[in-house]
Amino acid sequence: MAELECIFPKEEIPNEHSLFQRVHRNLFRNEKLAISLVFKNHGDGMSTDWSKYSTPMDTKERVRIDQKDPDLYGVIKMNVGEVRAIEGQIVEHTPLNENRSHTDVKGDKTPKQTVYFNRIFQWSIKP
Amino acid sequence: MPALLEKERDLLSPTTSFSGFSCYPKHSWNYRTETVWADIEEIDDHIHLWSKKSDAVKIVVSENYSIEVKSVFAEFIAKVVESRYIVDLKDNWDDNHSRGYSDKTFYNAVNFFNKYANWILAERGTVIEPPDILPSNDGSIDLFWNKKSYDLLINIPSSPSELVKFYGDNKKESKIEGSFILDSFNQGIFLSLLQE
Repeated sequence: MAELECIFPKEEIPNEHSLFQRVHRNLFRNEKLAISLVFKNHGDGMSTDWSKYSTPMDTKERVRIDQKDPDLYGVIKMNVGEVRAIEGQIVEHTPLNENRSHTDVKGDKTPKQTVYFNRIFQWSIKP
Repeated sequence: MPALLEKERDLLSPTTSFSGFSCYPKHSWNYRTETVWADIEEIDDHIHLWSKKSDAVKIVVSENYSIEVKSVFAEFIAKVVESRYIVDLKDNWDDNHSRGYSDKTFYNAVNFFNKYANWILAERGTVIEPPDILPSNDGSIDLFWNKKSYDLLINIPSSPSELVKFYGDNKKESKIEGSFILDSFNQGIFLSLLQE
């Protein structure tokens, strides 16, 4: 069956904007983040939401689409320009019909990239 | 006020005391009446005081693995206690299909640092700061030094055939990156960062 075409256009994301990412509470224990499990690719890249079309709360609540409980999740925030400054990382708007903000961060996530991601993220909503 | 360290709970075996985890001073290893028992949370708050009582502490990771850590590495002992929960994580523990962790991998990670810390103590007479011990990809475990003047991340794989990968820098011009086999590596490679 042919894939449905996305109803939203793909856009260029400015460096000064932000990306939001959900973090399961089990990945944040004793005030320490399991960084290699947060900053990792799932398929084509690391799934995030663009701040133009999403708030941190939208990102948290959107987990309901997968029949999961939003209360189990926190949300982190990263500046797009700082993500692009990490070696090999490409920020690409990949809208979905159910989520216009969807954005992939593509590129290898080795220990080097993980260390750099850890330096730039901030908590928007702690789990 | 909760009991800090309860003695004379000698009728309990290590595996029935609390989640299969126990710590007790080396000198009392064979004398059950002198064994010091404590819940994980209690040890966390009082590990420094407690570990002054002996030269080394034996940490039982599981029925299969235990490790002896010098009391001078008290902060490291606390980190091990804090992170022991990793061994109890089962597949899909993060609701995102992450694998669980074996006691062997946890032991490998802890043992790697313990051996390294002992080597530096013997060679340089210094006690290095311990890393955070974190769950990582595909059943592997991270040792992560997230410090003001440097970062160092070492990933200990779940399979002995896989390479240990690492990256570190002093947040300036000095960087190290690479991989090695767990049991054979140039011990000097991390020295410049860990002694920052």
